[in-house]
Amino acid sequence: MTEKTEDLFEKKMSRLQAIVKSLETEDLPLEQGMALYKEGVACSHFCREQLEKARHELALWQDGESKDLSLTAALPDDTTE
Amino acid sequence: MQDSILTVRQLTEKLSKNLEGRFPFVWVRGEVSNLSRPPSGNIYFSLKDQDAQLQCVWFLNQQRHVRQGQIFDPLTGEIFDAPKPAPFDILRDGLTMLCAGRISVYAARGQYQLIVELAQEAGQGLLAQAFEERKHKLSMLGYFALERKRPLPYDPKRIALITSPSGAALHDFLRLGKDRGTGAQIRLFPSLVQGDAAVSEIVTALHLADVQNWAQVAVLIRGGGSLEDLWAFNEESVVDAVFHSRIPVLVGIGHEVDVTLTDLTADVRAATPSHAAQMLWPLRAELLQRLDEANAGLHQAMTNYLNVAGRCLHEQEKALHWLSPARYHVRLMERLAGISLSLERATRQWLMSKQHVFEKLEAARQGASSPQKLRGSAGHLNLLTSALHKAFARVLSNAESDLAVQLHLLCINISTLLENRINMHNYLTLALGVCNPLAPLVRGYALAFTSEGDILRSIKQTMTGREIDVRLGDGRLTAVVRAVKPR
Repeated sequence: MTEKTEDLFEKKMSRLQAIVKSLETEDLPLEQGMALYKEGVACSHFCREQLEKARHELALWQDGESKDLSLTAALPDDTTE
Repeated sequence: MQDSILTVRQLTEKLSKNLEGRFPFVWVRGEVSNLSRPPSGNIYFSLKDQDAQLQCVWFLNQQRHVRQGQIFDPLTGEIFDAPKPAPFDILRDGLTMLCAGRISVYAARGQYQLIVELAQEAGQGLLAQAFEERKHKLSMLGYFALERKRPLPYDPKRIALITSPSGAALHDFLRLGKDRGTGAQIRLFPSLVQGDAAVSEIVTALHLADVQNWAQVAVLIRGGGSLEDLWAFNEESVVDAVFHSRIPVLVGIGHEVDVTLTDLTADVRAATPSHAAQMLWPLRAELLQRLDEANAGLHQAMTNYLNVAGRCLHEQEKALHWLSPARYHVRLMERLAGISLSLERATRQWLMSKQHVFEKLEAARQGASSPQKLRGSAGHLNLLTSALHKAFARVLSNAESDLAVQLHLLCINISTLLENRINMHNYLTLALGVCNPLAPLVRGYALAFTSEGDILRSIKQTMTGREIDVRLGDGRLTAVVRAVKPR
């Protein structure tokens, strides 16, 4: 995920909500309404996919460089206290 | 209006939430009074100073670890050479104590109170005093000012995490964070979190995170421990590093009751490492719910939109159909038929009325010009003519006979009248002769007149010497009066 695309979820979500509001309140031409709906469905799919594959990535910063750490390694099991 | 009226219970709950949230852990110094030790084992007392008083309760289960004589200072971790008497035992009215705990609202009485967790004689807790002094100093410097606190970015994607890689804090944080957010990169800056080296490592890590300018937020976490364990977080250099960080700092240290100066300085304070993860990211299930709602909204809005458009189209179609030339033609034809019908009806009515008049006239005409009637009239006329002739002849003859009678009568009347007149004349002539004044003169009478011609009736009308005229039957004498002799 690049820095540019990292807040896409929130952007798409906001866009989806804006589309719903437009469809609810504005008097749109049919083509525009259909286009908005398609865009809304795409936003919704995107957001759902994002949520389904969302995982935090853990990296260790050591000696001036980043080393990947698997989350499972950091989280061996819940019994560790 | 109704909504703004609270029940006592509601108000108390609000107050309680507010108050307990504001003072999750406080240190209070005061003089003990109204000490009460009921059989339940709970201890009730008030802490007071010159002009204020605070109700305190020390529950039995909180006293357990101080019931025995103390072998170390719970605040500083200092091990005593000889066990000190437990505060439980030395507690008495008039003693100045340092109590730590949380403020809670006792709803049944409508009062707030301190739930005591730790207590010691004032003057003993040097570390606590140091803490208070430093806290006061930093507070004066504006380190804890709410105005300078920055909010956390929503659902951050780049996290600088400063903690021990082997600590329970990291585990708790990652476990809670697993089901949150939309996927973030966490860069772990390994750091000791207790002991002498901890302070410099924490400061270096904070500085590094700040300098890299990569993370959106720095998260500093550490599990629970004694006050001594957590002391690094009260060190001024750590507090300074947090204070000067250009990225917002989220701090979650120890248990809920633990408050360090770093906590107070942080932009956002979480009670525990787990709580830090909760504060950092929104729950993924909630995001999913939000998405589901937006999705349902989208479909509903689209359905409504299409329904509206469909209804609109249907209306337009209806209008179009109604306004089509064919329909217009039909309508015109209908109108024409209607007008034709009225025309026909009116004409028929007019004809009928004329027919009626005609029939009446015809009947009258027929009645007037029949031959019988004519013949009758002619007969009648003849009859009248002959009657007229007869009547005229009769009137004529009547008039003639009348005229004869009248003539006859006229003749009679005239002769009678003449006779009457003659008789009358004779009579009158006779009468006249009788009446003639001169007639007596013949028989010897005389009439005397004055010279003027007046009849002389008295002697007074003349005198001696005067002439008088005397008429006699056969003439006149003029005489002179010689004497007047009265009788």
